[in-house]
Amino acid sequence: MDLDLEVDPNLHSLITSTTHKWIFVGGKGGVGKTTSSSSISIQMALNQPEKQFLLISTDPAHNLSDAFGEKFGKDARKVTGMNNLSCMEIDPAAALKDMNDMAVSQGQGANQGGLNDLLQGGALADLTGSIPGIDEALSFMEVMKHIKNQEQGEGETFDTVIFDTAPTGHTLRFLQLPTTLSKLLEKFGEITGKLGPMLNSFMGSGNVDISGKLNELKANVETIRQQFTDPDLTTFVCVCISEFLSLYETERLIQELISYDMDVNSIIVNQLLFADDDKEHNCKRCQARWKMQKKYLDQIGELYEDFHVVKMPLCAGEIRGLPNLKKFSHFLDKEYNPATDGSVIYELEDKN
Amino acid sequence: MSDLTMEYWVLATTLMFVVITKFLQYSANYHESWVSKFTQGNTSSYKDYMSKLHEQKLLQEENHSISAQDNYAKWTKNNRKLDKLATELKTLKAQIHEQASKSQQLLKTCKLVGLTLPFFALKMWKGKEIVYYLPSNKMFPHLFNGTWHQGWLFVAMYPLDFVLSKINTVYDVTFIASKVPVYKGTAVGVSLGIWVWALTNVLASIEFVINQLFLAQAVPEPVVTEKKAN
Repeated sequence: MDLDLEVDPNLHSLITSTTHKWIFVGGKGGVGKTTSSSSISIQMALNQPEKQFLLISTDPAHNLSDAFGEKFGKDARKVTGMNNLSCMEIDPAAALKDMNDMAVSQGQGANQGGLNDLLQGGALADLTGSIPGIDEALSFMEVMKHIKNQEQGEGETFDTVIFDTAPTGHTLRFLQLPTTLSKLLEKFGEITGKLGPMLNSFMGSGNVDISGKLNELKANVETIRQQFTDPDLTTFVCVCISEFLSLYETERLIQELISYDMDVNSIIVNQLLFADDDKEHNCKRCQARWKMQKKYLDQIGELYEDFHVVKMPLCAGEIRGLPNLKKFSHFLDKEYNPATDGSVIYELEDKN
Repeated sequence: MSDLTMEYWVLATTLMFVVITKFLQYSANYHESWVSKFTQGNTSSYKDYMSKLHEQKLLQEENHSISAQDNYAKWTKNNRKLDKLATELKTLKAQIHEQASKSQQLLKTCKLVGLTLPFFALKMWKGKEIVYYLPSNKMFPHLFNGTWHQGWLFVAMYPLDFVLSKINTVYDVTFIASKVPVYKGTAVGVSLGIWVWALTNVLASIEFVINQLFLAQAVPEPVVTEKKAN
């Protein structure tokens, strides 16, 4: 975090950061998360051409393909026109469910170690279903496994991974999991100590070493947590629009992230009208909406004094395709000036 | 009671123990509040808790009185303070509970050391001393006479004493437990142990009757409604 009293109203420090390995972009639905995460990725890739970047969408609604105007799947693929930016779309929850179903249908024979082993016969999944944060943890591990497989397959490693997270909230709830699991394992130890043989016969001949697996999971999550709570390695960028509910949700998200000890110091405020400087197309409705947006912008300034608050304009069309994203993303690196940059709003190529 | 044979202080102390025990029994519901007043009234965590609770109430009232949309920053800052206060209050509450349970434990120990153990010791020490003699030894059967005179141990030892009495014809009954023979025809007294037992039972009975007659809430007859057949 900058020590200056005045914090830059852009993401230049993040875009040029050489230490960040994980960047999360999150916010409620419809505020421009995908556009923002794509823009950050593009700017980072343009600013650091020697590095490899990976943009992952974990949102089941998958908008990356639409944003870039090309199809991405669960395997990372380079964005056409950029040789150091790849994208992939994963639905971790669905992948997890498929894997669990497969494990159940194939019984004991399905175990090949790793996550499959963890979900042996579906029994563990049933048991762990009630632990808060475990779904997110398993989903996240599924994502990490995909990244790892990808790196092993192509022999190419990614220096920075940008996550376009799903607007479901609790995205990073699993960071609290080590504490929860410690408590659970303690209880579990007590139970197995008392009912060991009975529990073994109850669990069947497969001998599912649940506490062993939970310990393994805890260790894995702990490792991830260490990386995610290091502000040099990981940061979270909040995306919102200048409206009450969006700001309220953003505040809750920020407080939640702070409770996980995660670094969060950037807010992108999207869809701003900047009606004062729009001489050509300046309707009464725009003026009124801009007045409301300004009111909330003032409040954001008061509440998040030490945050990078980036004000992004509402463009005339949808920001789709690499050229449009490049133009738009430029304002993350150098803040948008409505007096001089206003023309860009109407210059976006129509991709609809 | 005119035939009181034991020292007055023993009887007075016993009565005092009985009265204190009963008083503590009746006042059990208030112990927690007494202890908390005594121990928490002046502790810093309790004062801190109360002031934070007051602060929380003020903030809640302020947040209710302002419009969240018109004063978003103020409202959110208050919410942050409220979240912080809620966490602090939770911690303080746990601390206060811990202090209270410690005080309760202390009270229990005091009761044990100051009341239960001395009372027990007194009963063990002076339990077989006769409080008074019955006017006649024909008032109760022989087994009861022995019990009143010697205490409950007499009942436990009675079978053995009965066998020994058959062997040793000098005595009608030989009291192994006390080594003090009671000859047929001598006066029968009531020992302190039995007297305390009788007193506490009488008090308990009176208490039960008063409770049932005046204090217990009437249990209304359950209303049975017939379920409609489908």
